[in-house]
Amino acid sequence: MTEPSVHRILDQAFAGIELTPELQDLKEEMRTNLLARVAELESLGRSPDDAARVAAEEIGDLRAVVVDAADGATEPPAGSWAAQARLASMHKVRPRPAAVAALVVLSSALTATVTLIALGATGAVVMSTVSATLVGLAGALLTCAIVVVALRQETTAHYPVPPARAVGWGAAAAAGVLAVALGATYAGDRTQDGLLAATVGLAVVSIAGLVTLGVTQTNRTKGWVRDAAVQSQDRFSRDPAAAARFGIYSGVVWLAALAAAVAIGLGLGWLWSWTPLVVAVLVEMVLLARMQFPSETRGE
Amino acid sequence: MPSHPASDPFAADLLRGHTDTIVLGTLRRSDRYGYEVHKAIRDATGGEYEIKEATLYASFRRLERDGLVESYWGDETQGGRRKYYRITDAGQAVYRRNVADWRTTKQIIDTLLDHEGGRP
Repeated sequence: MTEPSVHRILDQAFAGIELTPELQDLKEEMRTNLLARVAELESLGRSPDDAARVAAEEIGDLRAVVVDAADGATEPPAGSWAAQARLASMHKVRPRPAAVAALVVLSSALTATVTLIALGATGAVVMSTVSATLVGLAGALLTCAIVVVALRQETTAHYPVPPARAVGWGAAAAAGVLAVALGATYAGDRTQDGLLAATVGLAVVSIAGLVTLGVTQTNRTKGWVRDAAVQSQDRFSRDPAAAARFGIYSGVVWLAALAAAVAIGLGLGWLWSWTPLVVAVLVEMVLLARMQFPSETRGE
Repeated sequence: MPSHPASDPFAADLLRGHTDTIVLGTLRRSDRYGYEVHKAIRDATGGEYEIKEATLYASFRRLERDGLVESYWGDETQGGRRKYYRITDAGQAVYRRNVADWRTTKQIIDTLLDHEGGRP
């Protein structure tokens, strides 16, 4: 009994309003919440009918929300650069000061470490194998920390990467840096076969890790960016009918051009038969410009 | 329990102005779907204050439009799908600022009304 009542309330609230996907979502959301409330009331001992009635009374003016949402849905034409800039500023996430400070310090330290590794590899600075390995290890740890801190930040366009996955990226990158450092040390002293083995092993681990993480990475782009990407697609991707019209127009233009070329060739001589083709190229370009960028964008 | 506690004139008007901040507050610790937020507010006040669900939808729409919360559909296999709301960093910042503003305002009103330590 409760289901029809809940559905009736929703149908009344949405009556006479065209259901856009957004409104469909809102209706679905309201339905789930209403049913949750009804279930709770029933668990408190109300009869199903009574529960549905109380839930309906409690919910307030759904119609106003629906009308408001329907108005809002038609509001921004979107897709323009101005609309995207507005969206970006609306969803702007400022970097956390602590993260920025940490990244500056870590990056400076990493630069120093990499310089030292490079100097060691070229022989400008003489280091024992042990100290070279320690420098490489420091570089690897710093790389890991930088990657993890950076991936854990929410940005305007992306959600943060989950902790375990961020550490995975950091570890894979660190293995790569350590492999380079050990490889550089081996290049300076070819007698250390252990270094070569470690370099190859770490490189394999790093590549395997990066590939695994890369192929299993889920989309963490925020909803508004994805929507904006769809909105800013060119007209033919957005509107297949326009693409079809363009195809037909093009066919007509080239058929006419070919017919004219043959007619001129037979009538006036083949020397001038190419002129309709030049005209066709010009017409085609104007057609493309007019259809791809119709003059509806004024007021931006 | 009265069925419409929020109709009590003492709090309704004052509270209404803070609906968005209250909703943000319920999302600080975990993502929630609409009815959970409704329940969290009701339970936190011991049933004394309830936000009408319609008001809640309007609030979610405002918050989402302003980039303070983001929504996503849960992957429930049984029953209806739930739309969860998640507070963004921008939302966290606005929440903290609104709470600070409220503390200042409360202090000023307490002073102006000559109301100290809960006694007029």
